[in-house]
Amino acid sequence: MFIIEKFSQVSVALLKETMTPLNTTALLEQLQQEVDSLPEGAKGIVINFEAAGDITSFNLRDLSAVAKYLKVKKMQMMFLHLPRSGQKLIKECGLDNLFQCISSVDDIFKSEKFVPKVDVNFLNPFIEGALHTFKVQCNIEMTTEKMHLKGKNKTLDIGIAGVIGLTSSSFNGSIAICFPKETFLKVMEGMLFEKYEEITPDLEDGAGELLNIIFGHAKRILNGKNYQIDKAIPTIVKGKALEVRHLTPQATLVLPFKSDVGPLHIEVCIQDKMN
Amino acid sequence: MFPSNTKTLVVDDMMTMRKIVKKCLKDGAQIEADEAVDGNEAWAKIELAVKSGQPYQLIISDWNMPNMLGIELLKKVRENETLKTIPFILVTAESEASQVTEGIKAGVSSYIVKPFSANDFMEKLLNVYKKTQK
Repeated sequence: MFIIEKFSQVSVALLKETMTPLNTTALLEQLQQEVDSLPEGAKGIVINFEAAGDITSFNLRDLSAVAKYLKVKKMQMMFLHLPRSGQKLIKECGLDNLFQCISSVDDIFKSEKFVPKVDVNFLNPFIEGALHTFKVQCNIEMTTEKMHLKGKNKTLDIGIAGVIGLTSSSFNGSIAICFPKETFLKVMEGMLFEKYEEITPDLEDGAGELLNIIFGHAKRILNGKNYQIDKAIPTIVKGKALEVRHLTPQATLVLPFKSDVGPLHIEVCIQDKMN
Repeated sequence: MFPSNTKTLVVDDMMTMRKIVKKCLKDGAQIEADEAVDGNEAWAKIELAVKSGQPYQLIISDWNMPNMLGIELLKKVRENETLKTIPFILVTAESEASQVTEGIKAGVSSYIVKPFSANDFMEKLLNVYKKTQK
């Protein structure tokens, strides 16, 4: 009935034929088994309708038991490549909370509905490290603002960024510190006690050094809690209207900071390694 | 405190950090330091200074640098009969226990952990100076 493709956080079930009264029971049994095999923290199941055509209200009724079971497990049933008529039916039946329609598997990781598990034990050392580093090394007091997912609609002003890849035995990821140009020049003034008009190649070091110090602070605390993070060297990118793209497909968290010299932010993107 | 004519070498691959350390030395102790961008350049300058009869009297080095780590530079200095007692301070963003132990075994005079204020820096420098007087 289904061809199942497993990913670290979701299973995609390609439905090979239209659901009928004759095949529904077997289909539901297979789905239930797949749900039970999902690891804790998984996003849910995607049913791919590419090969199967449309869905009826009877199909929705039959699938709703599995969908509700997924909800109890804090997961979601999603439909991929469902025709417009099927999507309209879901809305008309008021079932769009139970069944989510997506246009690609990537949407799962970008959607605001799927906020990545925010491990505050992991994030706090980076936040504390940033606040402490800017205060001591640059004489700048910062405050944190509300963290959010990085999305297409949010424009983040970045003139220079330092990026470090994170590796450990259990996860990969990256962290970036991002500055608008004017904020960075004032930060460097605070750090070096000289005024700067432009970001020179020598000054670019400063972004890397700050990230280095924040990373060192966080690494010390996190490795004390057995996160086993390896050493890393930052790289710097500079330009106009930069966007930092993290290589893991997980959603990116943005940690914004406010200060008297302007705003800046840290981006964190972490993916658990598959076993 | 170290006198203002103390021949000092600051080693760091990042311009910003070399600038900060040199400013701390100038403002706090009126020391004008030389600089090197990595362990290899530092070692070349150290050897030249010995040959010229004016060896360095204080070295302040970053830990993580390309080509030669600060800890490797420290070991080279400590293995040299002429240089082995030179005060050598390591500046690092990481202060995990394993790293501290490695530094102590290699004969580091002191650590400065980033981030540091000018006061933090001068306090460490004074402590190192006091040890040299014992």
